[in-house]
Amino acid sequence: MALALVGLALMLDLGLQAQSRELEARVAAEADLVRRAEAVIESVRAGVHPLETGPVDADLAWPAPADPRLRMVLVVGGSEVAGVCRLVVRGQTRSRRERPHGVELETLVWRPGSPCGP
Amino acid sequence: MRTVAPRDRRAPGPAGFSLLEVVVTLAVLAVALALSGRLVLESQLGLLRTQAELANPLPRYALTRLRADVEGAASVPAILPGWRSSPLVAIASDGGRVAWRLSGEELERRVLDGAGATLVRHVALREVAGWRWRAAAPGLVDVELTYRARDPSGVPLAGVPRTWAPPTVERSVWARIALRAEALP
Repeated sequence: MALALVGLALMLDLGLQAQSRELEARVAAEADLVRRAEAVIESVRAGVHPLETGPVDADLAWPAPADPRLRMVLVVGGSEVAGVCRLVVRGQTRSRRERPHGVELETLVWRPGSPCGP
Repeated sequence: MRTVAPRDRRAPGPAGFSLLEVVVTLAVLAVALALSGRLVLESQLGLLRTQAELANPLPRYALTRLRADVEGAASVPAILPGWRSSPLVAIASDGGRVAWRLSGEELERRVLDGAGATLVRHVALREVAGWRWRAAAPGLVDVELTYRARDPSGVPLAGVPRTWAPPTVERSVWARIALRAEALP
């Protein structure tokens, strides 16, 4: 009986520890995702990354190499104002335990002459 | 008259645990408790580390301040391409200048006048291990900041001296910032 109780306690502890490590990995992965999504937006603003719907070009968007499991796409749409584009950046990655993490940032970019608009 | 020995008066059935069984059980319990205590402690330290990182707003605040200065600038002069640790000077369209530089282990923000004299100086972040920046493209600046953070998970498991302080670990953050003023008509 004592061994069974101790075994149960150990299992619970292992679960707690796994959760704690998962929490750390999640915080780190999501912070990196947000940072990279922001960098994509800034690269588009500066005209370094093309303003078009499609997968993000890692060489153009980020100064630091990304995890190969990271997938990020850019969606460009119109807005209510001529020359202002609606930009959505969606990113997804997986933590060490293969848990998915995602981020989505949306902003407006002023690009005169672009087909964006109402 | 026949006397009955106490030994014979015991009721039939289970005889209970022997001393050896009790000792072995206690030993197993002690080992298991020590293991589980260690696991709980490590879990708590992991949570402490995460909490400490989340609760330390200063690096994020410094980067936000730097981002605001660069975004509002009309230009950030960079003579040579590539990463550098020299001061980053953001020049606004009205000629106002803000310089960011590493002085020792302090990241300073200085507001300069037109002649380059310091009007205001304050420390944006202390315990900075390194800083570098580059002009990735015209109107686009990359910044990387390495700072020292306390790591509460490094607490010794026993015998903590009164003068003990959490060890420091180096963490890096980077940001890509586009100049907004340049894009405005």
